[in-house]
Amino acid sequence: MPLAQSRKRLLLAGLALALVGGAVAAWKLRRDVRQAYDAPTRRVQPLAFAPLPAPAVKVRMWGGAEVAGVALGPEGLVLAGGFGVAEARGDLGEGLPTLQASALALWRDRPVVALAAGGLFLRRDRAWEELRTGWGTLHVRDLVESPGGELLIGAQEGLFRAAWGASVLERLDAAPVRSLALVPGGVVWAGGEQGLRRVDAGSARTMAAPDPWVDGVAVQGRDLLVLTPQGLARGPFDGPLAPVAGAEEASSFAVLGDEVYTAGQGRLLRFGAGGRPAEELPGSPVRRVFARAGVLFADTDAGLLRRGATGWSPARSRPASLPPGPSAVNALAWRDGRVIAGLFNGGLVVGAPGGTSPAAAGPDLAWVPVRGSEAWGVNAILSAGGAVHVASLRGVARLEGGALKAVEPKDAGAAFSLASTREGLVHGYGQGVLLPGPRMLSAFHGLPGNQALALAEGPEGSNLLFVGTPTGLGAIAGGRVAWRTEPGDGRLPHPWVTALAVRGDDLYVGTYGGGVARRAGRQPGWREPGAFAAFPETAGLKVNPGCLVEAGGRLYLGTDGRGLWRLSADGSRFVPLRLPLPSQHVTAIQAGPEGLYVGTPEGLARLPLSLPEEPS
Amino acid sequence: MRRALLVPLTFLLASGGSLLRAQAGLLVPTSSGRPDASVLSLREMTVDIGIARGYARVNVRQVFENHTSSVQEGTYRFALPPSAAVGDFAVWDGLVRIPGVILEKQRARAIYKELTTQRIDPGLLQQGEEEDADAGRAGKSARPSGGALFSVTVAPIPALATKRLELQFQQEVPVIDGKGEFRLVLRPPDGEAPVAASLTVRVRLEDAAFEAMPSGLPLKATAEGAEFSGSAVKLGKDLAFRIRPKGSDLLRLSAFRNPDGVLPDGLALAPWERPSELPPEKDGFFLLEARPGGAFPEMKLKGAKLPAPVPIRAPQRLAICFDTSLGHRWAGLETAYQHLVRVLHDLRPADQFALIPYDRTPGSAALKKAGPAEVEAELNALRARTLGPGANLPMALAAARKAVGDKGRILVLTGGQGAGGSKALLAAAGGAPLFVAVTTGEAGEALRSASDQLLAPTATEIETDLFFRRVLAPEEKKEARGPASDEDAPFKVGGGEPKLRHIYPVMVQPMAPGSLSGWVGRYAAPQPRLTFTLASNMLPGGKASLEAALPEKALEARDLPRRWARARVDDLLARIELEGEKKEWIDEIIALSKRYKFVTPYTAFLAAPRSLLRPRRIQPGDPVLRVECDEATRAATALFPFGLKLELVRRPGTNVWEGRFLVPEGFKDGRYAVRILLRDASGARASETKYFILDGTAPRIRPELPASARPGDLIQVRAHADEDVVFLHARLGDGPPIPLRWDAAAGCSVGLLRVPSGPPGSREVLFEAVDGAKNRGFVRASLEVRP
Repeated sequence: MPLAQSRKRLLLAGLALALVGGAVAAWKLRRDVRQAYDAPTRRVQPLAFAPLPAPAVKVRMWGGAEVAGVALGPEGLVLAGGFGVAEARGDLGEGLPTLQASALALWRDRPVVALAAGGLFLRRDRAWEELRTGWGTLHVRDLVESPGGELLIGAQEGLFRAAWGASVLERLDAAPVRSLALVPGGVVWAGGEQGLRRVDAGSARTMAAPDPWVDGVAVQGRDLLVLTPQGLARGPFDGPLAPVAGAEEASSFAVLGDEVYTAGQGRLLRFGAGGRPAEELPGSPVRRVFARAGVLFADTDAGLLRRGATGWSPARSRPASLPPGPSAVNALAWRDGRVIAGLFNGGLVVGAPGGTSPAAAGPDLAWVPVRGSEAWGVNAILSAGGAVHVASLRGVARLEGGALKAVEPKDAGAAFSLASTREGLVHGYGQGVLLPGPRMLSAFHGLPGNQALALAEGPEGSNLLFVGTPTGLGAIAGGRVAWRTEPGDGRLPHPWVTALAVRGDDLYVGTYGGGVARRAGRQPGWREPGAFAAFPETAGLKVNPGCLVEAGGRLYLGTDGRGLWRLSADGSRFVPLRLPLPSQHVTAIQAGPEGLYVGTPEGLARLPLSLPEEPS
Repeated sequence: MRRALLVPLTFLLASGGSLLRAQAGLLVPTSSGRPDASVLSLREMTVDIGIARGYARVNVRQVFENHTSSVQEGTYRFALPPSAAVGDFAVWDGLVRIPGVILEKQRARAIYKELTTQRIDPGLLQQGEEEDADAGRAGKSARPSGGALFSVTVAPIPALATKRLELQFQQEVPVIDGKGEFRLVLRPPDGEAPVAASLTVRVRLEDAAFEAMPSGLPLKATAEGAEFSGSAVKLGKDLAFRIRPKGSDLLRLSAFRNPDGVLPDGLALAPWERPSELPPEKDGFFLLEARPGGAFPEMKLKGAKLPAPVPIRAPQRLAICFDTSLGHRWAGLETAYQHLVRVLHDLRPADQFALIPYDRTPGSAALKKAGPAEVEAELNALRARTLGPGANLPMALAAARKAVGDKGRILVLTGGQGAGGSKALLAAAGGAPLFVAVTTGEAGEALRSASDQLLAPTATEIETDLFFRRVLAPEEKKEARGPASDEDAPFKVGGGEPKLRHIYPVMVQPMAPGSLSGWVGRYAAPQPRLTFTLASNMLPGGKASLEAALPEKALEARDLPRRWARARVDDLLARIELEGEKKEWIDEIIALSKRYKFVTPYTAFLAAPRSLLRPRRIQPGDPVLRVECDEATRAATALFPFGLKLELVRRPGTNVWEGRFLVPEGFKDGRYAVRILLRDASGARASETKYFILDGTAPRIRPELPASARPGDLIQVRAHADEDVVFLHARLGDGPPIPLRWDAAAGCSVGLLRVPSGPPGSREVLFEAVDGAKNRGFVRASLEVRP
C-alpha cells in the first residue's frame, strides 16, 4: 500500500509539473506568435527609376473632379486627383500611363504622384520617371516626405520608405495603409483597413482605434487624431482616443496649427483649441480639406479654394473633368453635337462644347449631369430614331428634354444592350431579348442564353438580329431563333459573346477571353451559323461589352486591360493602338465629328480619327 | 480591375433566399446572409405532428445557438406546405416567451411603424413576402393557405447564447387513392444540408396507419404513429411519410361542442394545442367525412413515373391555355411546359385538343387530333412563340371555350398573371370545366374561385397526379361550391333538426374513389340521433347512410372550430374576390382570425421587442451590392476588403441602397466580408458585416444517359453537379432546355427528355449548369437513337 501511495504521489507530482510546463510553453508560444505578428517585416527590395516616354499623340481626357492631393512647390501649386495631375501652367499628367491620381507629395521639391490604378512616379527634368520596385506595383494612398528627406509611402501593400538616391525600397509594415502621420523622433502612425498601426524603428503594433477602418491619421502637438467611419477621434499617443464632438460626419480633416478642420456632408467645420466647432462658409460644398505649408485648401464643387487672411478665395479653377461624382464611363453616344456618357456606377452626363483647351486636342467639353434616376449603372446608350435610349441596371430609359423617362416594360430588370432595327428598337435584358411588338425571346425559345449582352442587326437582306450571350451567339429571324452557337461547339473562340459588329456582309464577334472572330458574308446564306474565323492576334483578349465599333471606316476594338485595337485597312488583322488613354480598360467607344471618344473606368478620352497606321 | 469577375461575383443571400423558400425552419444570420452553422446552428428541433380526420396539426420548436462572441440578427424562414396556416408563433427572449398576437393588419403595421421609430424592431409575421411593404394591399391576394413563406427578423440573439422559436400550423392531408402524404421540407433544394444537433419527431395518428417513405427521414412506427430521435442529424431528407386511413366506413361524423368555454381539468392537450384556441361557442361544429371505395388503377411508363391515362373514358375535347406572358418565365415556364407535355402525352388518338398560347391576346385556337405528329407540331409552335407583355386570361378562356364547344374542358397553365376577376373568368369559360395549374407564386383568389380544380405550385406528388387524372377523367357531376345550408348540402339529415349552417366542402373535392372528402359546418341544436345520407354514384347503391349524434358536449375533435373558421374565411375571401369588399365580411374575417388565431390577408402576428436599423437583405446583382435598409436611413457606405469605400445610392421609391463595384485583379476565390455602415436622419449609426462569395469556378457536371432510346421515348436523364448549382438543364438537339431537379432517392438531379423523331444515330445532349455566382458549366453526352 505505501508503495502504491508513493506511486500515486509521484504520478500527481509529475502531472502537476507537466501542467505547469505546458502552461509556460503555451504562454511562451503565444508571446512569440504575437511578437512575430507585431514585428515589422523589415525587408528591402530593389528600387529603380525608369523614364517614361513622351506620348506621340496628344489626347484630350476628362476624368473625375475630386482632388486627392495638393502640394505647394517651388513652381507653384500642384494638384492631383481624378483629373490627373495639374499645375498652375496646365496639365502635368501627360505621359503617365493612367489618368486618375490617388496621392501627391513633394520629394526634394519634386512632385511624386501615385496613380489610382497603381504605380508611383517622380517628376524630374520636366518628365516622369516610374519608381519600379521589387515589391511589384504599389497601390499608394498616401505619401509623406520626412524631415530627413525620406519618402514614406502608404499603400495597400503596406508601409514603405525610400531614401533619396537609394536603390532600395524598404517595407516597414505589411498592413494596408490609407493615411500616414509622422511624429518627430521617427515614429510613424499609419491607418488603414486593418486598423491603426504604430511603426517605429523596432516594431509595428496595432493600436486601439474607434473603428478598424482608419481613413485618416494626423498629429497635433502631443495628440493623435484619427478619422474613421465613426467620425474624428483624438487622444494622447498612448491612448485612449475619444470622439471629437461635432465631427461625427467628417470624411476628411486637416490640422493647421492649433486648429483642426473637418469636411463632411458638404460642410466645413473648424475646431479651435477649445474643441468647439465653428462652421466655415467657403461658398460651395466642400468635399475634402488639405493643409500644406501652412495654407488651408478646400476641394469644392467650385474648384480648389484657399483660406487666406481675408477668407476663402479660388486657388485654382477645377481642371477639365466630368462633374463631381462617379467617373467610370461604361457607355457612350453622340447626338446633336453632344457626347453622352453613361456611368458604370451612376447615371448619365452630357458634354457640350465649351471652355478652352489646347488647340491640338480639339474643343473642350463642359459636362453636366442628366436629371432623373431612371438610369443607373449604365450598360449601353443608343441614339436612334430621334431619341436617346439608355440600358442600365434599372431597365431601359429614354432621354427626353434633358431628363430621363423609364420605358416599358418597367419590371423587366437590368438591361444590357440596345439595337435599332427596321422594325424598331430591341432591348437586351438579363432575361432575354425584347423585340418590337413587344415580344420577348429567351433561352426557352432557343437562344443560347438569357442575358443579352450584345445585339446587332444583320446585314442587309439577311433579316437577322444577332444576340450575344455569355453562352453563345444566337440569330433571330422573323421573331424566332434561327440558329445559335453553343459552348463547346468550337465555332467561336470563346462562348462569352460581349460585342457584335456588322460591316458590309461580315459579322464580327467580340468575346470575353477569346478575342474576335469573323463570319464572312460570302458563305452561302444566313440560315445556319456557318464558319467563324478567329483573328489569332486577338487570342485571349477580353473584349468589353459594346466595344466593337466602326468609326471613320475602321473597326475599333476595346479590351479589358489591353487598350484599344483597330482593324487594319485591309481587314486582315487587328493592331493595338499605342495611345495614351485614361486607362487600358476600354469600356466604351463612340465616334464623333472631332474624333473617337473612348470610355474607361478612369474617365474618357478623345482621339483623332486620323491616327497613323501602326507598324505590323 | 478585373471585369471578368464581375459576373461571377454574387451575394449568396438572395439566391439563398429563393432557395430557402422550400425549406422549413431556418434562422439565417443577417451577417452572412445564408445559413451558416459557424454563426447560428440548429441546436435542437422538436416536431410534434398530430393527424386526424385528414388534418394535421404541427408544432415545431427550434433552439438556435449563436457561436459568435457578438450579438447576431437572423431571419427566421419557414416554408409552409400548400394548405397550411400558421396558428401560433413565439420567440423566446431569454426565459420570457414573446407570443405573436393576432392584430388587424393595418393596426399591426401602424404599431410596427411606431415601434420602429422608437428603435424597437418588432417581429411582424404575415403571410406572403417578408418585405410586404404595403401589407393591406399586397396581402389581399393571399389566402390563409397557400404554401407561402413566412419570415420574420429575430434579434437580438445574444453572443454565445441560444434563441428559441416556436411555430404551430395546421394543414390538410388529402387522402387520395387510399393514401395521404405529409411532407415537411427540411432538406434545402440546393447546397449543403444543415445539421440539427438534436432532432426529435413525434407523429400521432388518430385514425390512420403509418407508412414510411424511403425518401423521408427514417421514422420508426410506434403504437401511436411514428417517431424519430437522433443527434447530429443532417437534414438531408424531408420529414415525409404516408398514411392509410383505418377502417372501411363510407361515412364518418365527428363533432365538437364546448358551450362552457373552459376545458375540463385533466384533459391532456397535445403539444400543438393551447386552451386559448378553444374559445366559448354556443354552436357546435361537425365534420362529415366520406371515403368512397375503389381506386384508379396504377400504371407505369417506361423509365418515368407518370400518371397513367384513365383507362375507360369517352374521347375528350381539351383546350389548353398556356401563359406566354413576360411574367411567366424561368422555372414557372418550364414547369408549365412539363405539365403540358404530360397532359398531351396522356391524350389518346381519339381525343382532340387545342393549344392556345396567350399573353395580351390569345394565339389561334383550332382543335386538332391528338396524334404524335400534331402534338409535336404544336409543341414546336409553342416554343417558337415569344413571351409578350401582359396577360389576358379571360380572352384566352373565351377562345378556348369557342374551340372546344359545349362538351369540352379547359386546362390553364399559368403563372397567375392577368386572371382578372373570377366573374370574368367564369363568364369566359361559359360553364366549361376549368382546371387551373398555377406554376409560380401563389394562386390568386380569382383563379381559386373560378376553377373547378386548382393545382398550387407547392402541391404534393399525389395531388398533382390527381389533378392531371381529373383533367381527362370521365365527367363528374359538378359539386356546388361555396357554403351550403342544411337544405342544399350534398348530404341529407333526418331524424331531427340540428339547425346546420355554414357548411363548407373540405379535403378532396369533388369526391373521388379511394379519396377522403368532407364537409365541415356548425350546428345550433344538438341532437342525440340523426341520420346522414349522402348520395353519389361512387357509393354502393348510389348512396350511404350513417346514424350519429350531434351532441351537447363533445371535446375530442378540437381541431374542428378552427378548421371551420378557416373554411369560412376562405369562403369570405372568395366572395370578396367575386363581389368586392364589404365591411361586414372583412370584420368577420378579422374576428375569426383573432378568435381562432390564424393569419389572414387582413391580419398579422405581431411580436415585440426587437432591434432596429439593420439591413434586412442583400440581393444579388453583378456586380451590384444591394442592401435593404430601414426607411430612416440617410446614408449607406460599404467598406470592401480590397480597400474600396463605396457610397451606396438609394433606389428611388424603395429602401434599397445599391452600389456597383469592380473586384481588383488577382483577388482569389473565397468568402469575404464587406462592412456596411448606415446612418439615419438623427445621425445614429449602425454597422453590419455581410459576406460575399467570390466564385470564378465553373460548375462541374457528370451526366448519365440511357445507352439508347427510340424516337418518341421519354427518357430519364441524370446529372451530378456541384452543390452550389442553382440551375441545371439538359437540351437534346434543338429542343427546349429541360430542368433537372434534385432527386434524393437517386442522389442526383433528374429530368425527363422526349426523344424527337428523326433519323437514327448518335445525338448530343447538352447539359448546362449555372451556380449561385452565375458561373456556367457545360458538358455534352451522346445518346444513341435506334430506329
